Amino acid sequence: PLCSLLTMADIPKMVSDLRRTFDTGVTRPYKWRYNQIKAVSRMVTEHEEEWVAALAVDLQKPACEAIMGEVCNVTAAAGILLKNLKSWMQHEAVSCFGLLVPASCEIRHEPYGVVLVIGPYNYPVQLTLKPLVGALSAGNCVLVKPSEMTPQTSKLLARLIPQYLDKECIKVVEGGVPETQALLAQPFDFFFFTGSHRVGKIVAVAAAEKLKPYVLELGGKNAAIVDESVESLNVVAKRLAWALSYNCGQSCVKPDYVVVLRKNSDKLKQKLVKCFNDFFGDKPIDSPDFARQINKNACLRIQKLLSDNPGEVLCGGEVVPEDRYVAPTILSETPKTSAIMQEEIFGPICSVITVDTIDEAIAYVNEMSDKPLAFYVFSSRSAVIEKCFSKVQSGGAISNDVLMAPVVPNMPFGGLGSSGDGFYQGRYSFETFSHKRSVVRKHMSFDNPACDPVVRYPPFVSSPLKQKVFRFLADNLPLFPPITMSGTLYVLFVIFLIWHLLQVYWK
Amino acid sequence: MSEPSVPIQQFPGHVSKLRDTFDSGVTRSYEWRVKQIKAMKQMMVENEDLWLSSQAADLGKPSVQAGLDISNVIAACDELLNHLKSFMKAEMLPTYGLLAPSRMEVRREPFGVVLVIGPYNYPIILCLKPIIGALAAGNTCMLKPSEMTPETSKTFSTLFPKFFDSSVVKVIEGGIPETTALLATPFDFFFFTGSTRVGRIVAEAAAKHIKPCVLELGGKNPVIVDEHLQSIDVAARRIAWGQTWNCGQTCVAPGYVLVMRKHAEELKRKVVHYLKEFYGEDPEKSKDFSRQASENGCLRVQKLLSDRPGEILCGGKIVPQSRYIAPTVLSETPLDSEIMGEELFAPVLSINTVDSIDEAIKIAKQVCDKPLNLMIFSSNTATAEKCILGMQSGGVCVNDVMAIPTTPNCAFGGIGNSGMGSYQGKYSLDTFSHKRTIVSSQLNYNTALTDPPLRYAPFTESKAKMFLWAADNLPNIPPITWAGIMKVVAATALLSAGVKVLAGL
Repeated sequence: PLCSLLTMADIPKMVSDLRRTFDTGVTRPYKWRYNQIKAVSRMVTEHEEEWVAALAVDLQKPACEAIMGEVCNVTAAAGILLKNLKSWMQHEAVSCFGLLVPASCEIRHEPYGVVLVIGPYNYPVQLTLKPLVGALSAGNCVLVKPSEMTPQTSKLLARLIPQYLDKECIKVVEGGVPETQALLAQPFDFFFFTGSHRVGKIVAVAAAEKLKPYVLELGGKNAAIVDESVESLNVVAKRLAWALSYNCGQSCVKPDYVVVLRKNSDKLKQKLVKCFNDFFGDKPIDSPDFARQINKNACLRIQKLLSDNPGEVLCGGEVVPEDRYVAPTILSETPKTSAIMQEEIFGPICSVITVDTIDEAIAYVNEMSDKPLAFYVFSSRSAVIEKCFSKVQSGGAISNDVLMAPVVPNMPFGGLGSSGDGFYQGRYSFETFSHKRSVVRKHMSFDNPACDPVVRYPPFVSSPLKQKVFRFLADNLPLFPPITMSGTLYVLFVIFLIWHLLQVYWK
Repeated sequence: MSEPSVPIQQFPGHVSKLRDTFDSGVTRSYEWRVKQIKAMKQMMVENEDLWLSSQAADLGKPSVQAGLDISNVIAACDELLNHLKSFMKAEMLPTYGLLAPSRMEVRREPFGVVLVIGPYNYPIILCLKPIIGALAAGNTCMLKPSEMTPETSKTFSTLFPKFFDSSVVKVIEGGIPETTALLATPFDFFFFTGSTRVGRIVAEAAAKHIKPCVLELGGKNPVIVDEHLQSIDVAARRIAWGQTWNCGQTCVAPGYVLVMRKHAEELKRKVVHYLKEFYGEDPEKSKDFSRQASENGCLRVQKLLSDRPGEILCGGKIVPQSRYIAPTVLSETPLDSEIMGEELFAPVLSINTVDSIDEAIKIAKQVCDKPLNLMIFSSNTATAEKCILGMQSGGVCVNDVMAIPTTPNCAFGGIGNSGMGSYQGKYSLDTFSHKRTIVSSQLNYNTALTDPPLRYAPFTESKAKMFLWAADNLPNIPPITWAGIMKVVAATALLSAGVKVLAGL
């Protein structure tokens, strides 16, 4: 189409315009950042119905999921940033190395410049807008590339962002593979990508070639372990069933399989099936509360996985590609070598695997999942939970609940190994999108009399005493804590109090 | 060039030993990490002669400079010890209202096996500081020191096994084939210090593995000298020192000076004067002046100097066979000359005149967009701020040069072509750790989100409304920790005592 041809040619200019705008310094002040973040928050709340409608078309997302799982997340993320931004932007005074005294040393958080945010299709609103507000909080200019697989949402983002945000500093490019490739060739200062492992690698290499930092939020084969000490299997089953079916299983933190100890195995399987029935009735395809896969291809992929020795199908298993429907499905004792155990399913399907001991469960998880994004342990014994957490590396871990990491707005969310690189959310967004710049300030008149003019400068060899003194100072001068107003007042106040208390009580 | 210590076929075996140690969980304890840091300190302190002689052999480094390198590593160890205990405590976060009651914490966990590739200019500091940072964060390490400093590499190979287990730190000596083989191995973290060119290769390798990397590269670092100066002598001295320390082979060394016209002539004179004061009439004879690491480095600089260097105010002599480059000051080097286009890594300094600070900033951005170090000499805070905000850089020094890597606690890292990521002190611990969110919920006490079942299908309009209300209005609940309770008790006591005293006055 003509408009996407125009965009392709425009891309290099858009990026250089963003860079020029960044260089003017307009994104640095607190007020600008505050206003932009607030505007994003308003953008989602003031057009809530439109977002819900777009998500309904793109993913058949139930309204409640659209509000709970998209709109609320963005406003919560914005809220945390707005509340704390001023204090996070303060320069951090650090102790001064002895040889440099008197000097002031501080660490500043500064923006990188122009950030590229590539959004995914599963939570197209929150996973595009949360990185956006993060990048803005750090003072960057941003180019947003929403997923082309959610065209209605993408259109809405492209329409509303220029209305609410500073057009010179934040731009949107819609498009698919050609536009993304064109963008990846541009000299951005930071690349933020949420999506599949395959594309993540392409983004990482593109960024690395330019020596630019990046964050990849990918996924993995997330695992859950259910211990025999669980008291309420009902609650466990409900929470698991919720995680499996939410957004038709298209969550990067959804558990693909559950390893359960034999004692609870049969009951858990029964209860999971019952929960699906409670949520969606006999025919989930008719339930207005169950979402859909992103497109027909996704269904066909899952259909193929299900065809290879999936184990016993306890419920579900139906795939209707024309309706983008995949039934909530529980599989039992899927063999390790089945296709469905080899890759991230991204569908409302879960295999329940029975083992006899916790050690077996841990070994199973370490074998089948390489550092998954999420790891869940259900147990009433904290020793068991700790053992699982320490023996399995994962992006994040949750005990006795599911899916929460990306929901909680102030916790760092990020992967490890193949599940991703880097993290964001809350304070960690601000840090991720900032460069830590150390600033050491000295005086030319008041110098460290130990150093300047004598000790620091050559010649040395002719003066062994000088060398000894220099070395002694380097080895023994302590770090001098920074002198801050609040620190000084605090010390004075405590001294004052102690003096008075002594006066009063020590006659 | 030394023989590779370990044949390439054996690399995977060593890496899996490092991985096994990591997987065993032994690196997670505080005591283990303290033991490693103390071992590093011991290794430095007990072998001073060996370190000094290896630096003299590889770089002609005077013993006072090598001694400071040792001091730098020891200070880094002390700084890590200072921060380690508090760093290892999980960070408790307020509980998100919708999920109360549950506990939310962030744990810093090690990545696994870290590859550290070291450079040739400060082989002791720039190999050992990243290693001890990685160990302190609970990782195991493989070290590939530079093949251009064979004596130092040999010293590493000899000493490390005496102080560290080879399944904790393994030293691999070698050149390009060995480095290539290591980059093809899926380490859990890549830490590289060196040139931008090789940095790119490392970044691409890390990206293909989807593993994090930190790159400490370099750049052509500008020095901006304002017309408001308290002392030209001090400025000239510091600049001359930075230019020639370690024969100019410092990633944060001054590359060129942009000086306001008012002080231009005097600055040039004084820099030349102080160079003479430091190294005498013939620096080649001075025992305080070191050498380039390689003949190639000299030949490279010789070639660059042949293209319009501007006026040579002093120095210019290069003797590749003895790896000698004289401390050289150039005046008004054309901006498009070869010399201005590359980081020299040599004691050659261009001093160019400008007429305004804006001009200086503009030129600096043209020459090197994001250098590792920006140095500003000015007595005017506003001018310094203008420069700091006017261009991006890894770090900044006002009224001095090269301060940041000498400190054990300031974040040291580049931006753009000068690198990515940072380390030193608590920033090392941070860099070499993965922030793992742990949410501990309950099965008995349901969260506000769950039962009554706001979150489960079937959804009704009232449910959605309730959820929205709860999401907007439930406050975050601060974590309850012993430290928190003590703080509240202490603050109350202090406040009531204060009130009593003030009332009594």
